[in-house]
Amino acid sequence: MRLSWLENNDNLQANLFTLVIHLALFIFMIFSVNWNVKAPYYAEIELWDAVPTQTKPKPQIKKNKPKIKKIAPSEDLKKAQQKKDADIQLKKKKAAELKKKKAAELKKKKAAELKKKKAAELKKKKEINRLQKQLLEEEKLEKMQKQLLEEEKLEKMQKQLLEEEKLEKMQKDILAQEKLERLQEDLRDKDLAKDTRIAIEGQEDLVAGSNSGELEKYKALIQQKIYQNVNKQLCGLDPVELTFEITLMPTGDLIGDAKMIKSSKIESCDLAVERAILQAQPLPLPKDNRLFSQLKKLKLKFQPNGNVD
Amino acid sequence: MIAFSGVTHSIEVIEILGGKASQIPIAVTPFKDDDKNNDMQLMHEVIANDLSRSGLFSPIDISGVSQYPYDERDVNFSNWSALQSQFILLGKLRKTAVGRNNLQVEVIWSLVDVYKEKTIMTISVKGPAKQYRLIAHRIADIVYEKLTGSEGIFQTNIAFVKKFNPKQYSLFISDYDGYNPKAILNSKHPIISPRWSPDGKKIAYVSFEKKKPVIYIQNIETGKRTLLANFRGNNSAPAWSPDSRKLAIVLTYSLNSQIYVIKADGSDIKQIMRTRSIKTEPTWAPNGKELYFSSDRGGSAQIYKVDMATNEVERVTYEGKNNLSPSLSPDGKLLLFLNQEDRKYRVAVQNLLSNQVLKLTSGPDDESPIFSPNGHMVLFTYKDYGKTSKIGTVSINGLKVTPIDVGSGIIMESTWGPIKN
Repeated sequence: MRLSWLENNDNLQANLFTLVIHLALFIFMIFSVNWNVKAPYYAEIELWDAVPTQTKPKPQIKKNKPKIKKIAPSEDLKKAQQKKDADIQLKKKKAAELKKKKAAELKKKKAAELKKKKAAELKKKKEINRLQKQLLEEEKLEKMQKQLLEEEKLEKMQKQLLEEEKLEKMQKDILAQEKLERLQEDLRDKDLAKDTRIAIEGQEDLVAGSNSGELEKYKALIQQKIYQNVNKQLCGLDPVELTFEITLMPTGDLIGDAKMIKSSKIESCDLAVERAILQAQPLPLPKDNRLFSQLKKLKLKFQPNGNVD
Repeated sequence: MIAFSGVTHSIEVIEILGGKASQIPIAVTPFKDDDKNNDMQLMHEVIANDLSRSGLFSPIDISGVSQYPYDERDVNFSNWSALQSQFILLGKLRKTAVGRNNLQVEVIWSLVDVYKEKTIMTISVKGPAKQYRLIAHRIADIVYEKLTGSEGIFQTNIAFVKKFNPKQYSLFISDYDGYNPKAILNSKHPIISPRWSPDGKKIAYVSFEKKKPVIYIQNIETGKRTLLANFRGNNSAPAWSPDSRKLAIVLTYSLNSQIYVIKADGSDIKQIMRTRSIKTEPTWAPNGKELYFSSDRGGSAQIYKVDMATNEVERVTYEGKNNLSPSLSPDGKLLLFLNQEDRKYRVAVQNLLSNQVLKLTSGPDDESPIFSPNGHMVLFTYKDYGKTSKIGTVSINGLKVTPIDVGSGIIMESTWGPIKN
């Protein structure tokens, strides 16, 4: 069914349209609370200097009720009316007094009603004006908020675009970096072992005939095996230093306990380092008896969180 | 890495610089219990899960072990050593009925060092059988403190917001692992940013029940709540001072977000720093003298700190596009924050001495990171399969990410309570 009566009635259509828009605006105002706790960045707005006082929040728009005085019929008007009545009386002398009185009363009543009506209309108009003003202000606020949001969005979009441009270029680097991060520990250990071995082998060539290269090689191997087991997380964040003394059997196992000479003053750290030594058994040792005698007693210095100095 | 001493010493010296971030292998065996069908059979699992969640332990798989030891004398050290276990936690249960429906349980347990082949400690822990999880958490705390040197947090609580639908929100408190949840506030309007007071008695949060964000403080025990801040504009991001007497809050009183400090009774408000830039998400340094916060003053969002006595501001984060949501470890040495790079939000931690940054999570939509009270773990919000908001923990070494299961629904806005005294 077509709403032809609505289509043909421009006035009603306009009124309905206004009503719908106002309703929509009203609903939007009520529900458009900013849920976002994170304050929008990049907005630069002047500050107010005053320190807030704990008062109930004032509504943004002042609701000044229009002050409309009820206008009582003025003396002048009354007189004029009386004069008019008198004129009528003169003109229509034969009219009955009762009738006159009634007519006068009726007119008085009508005049009062008219005034009342006019006052009401005025009130209505003012009310409408006020509402329109309020709506305009609300719309303004809305616009401001929207602008802020849009600016924020724009900023974000711009950054995103820039990012996208960068992304492709960066992706490879990042992937490589992440892989590196993941493999770092392993790589470091492997490289270290390799490097020391190479260095020791080189040294060995230079000092052919002597066994100092062999000694350094086994020291490096022992260092490696113990280092693998040091759980530095149990040593806090500050630099600490510990020293242990161990005595070894030719099998690489400890004779007795690992003796702590210097404590880190963190019990969990001392125990963790002690465990690292115990866990490394058997330690790699040379078969050569003379070399072994040099490594039989060892002093182990630990700095789990890096250099103390 | 390595340095060798000269050969002139009679005793050889080996220097071992640095170490690794590894996990301590530990076997947590079932406690001896004649009655096989009760929840207390799960106690060893609760302990193992606690230790695992911390990222400092790796409980070993004991499913293949045929005979569990209940006493140090039963331990076959070479077998456990072969399983690469450094420690064994073992014990037995003793139950006594105290009156009707009040079963008490006593756990007599030992921590055994496999390498040294000796018992480190034997302790008895008692409590109501109904609270077997709490008893298990207490045992885990004792083991944790003994082996790591730090106080455990397994008996603490967390708070989180559950969104049932767009018109139903609840603020819950639960055990740290999500068990025993209890709603302390139900609302038709969103609740965000809950923050536990350091004295453990109250929770401050932001509620939208007044059609805009305002800040309430709720007493957990009594449920009584007071309105802390309802100023013009938005009232958000409450952060307790270490002495629980004051809060840093954020108001848009002057049209953009600025930081204020207010007493917990709502009096004596004053603004910190008066500059044009947006400043938000304040958090206190443990010394109570500095605030860390995020700001756009450098063009992008970064974390700064301000000395409240001098109003001197210093930038703290440099790595990454945007860095948000700061919080500090209890010792003040680590800064936790949300790092945004490549459209990914990830939880990151910065050593404030070395300024080294470690990204703990992989993102892409992580939120609201907050330290455990011992600074060894982080509670955070993430998007499950990129959709539903969930909560979980990540260990500070980044080795262990564990979800916290508090049932279906949208779980968000989580915070960690203090260690109870």
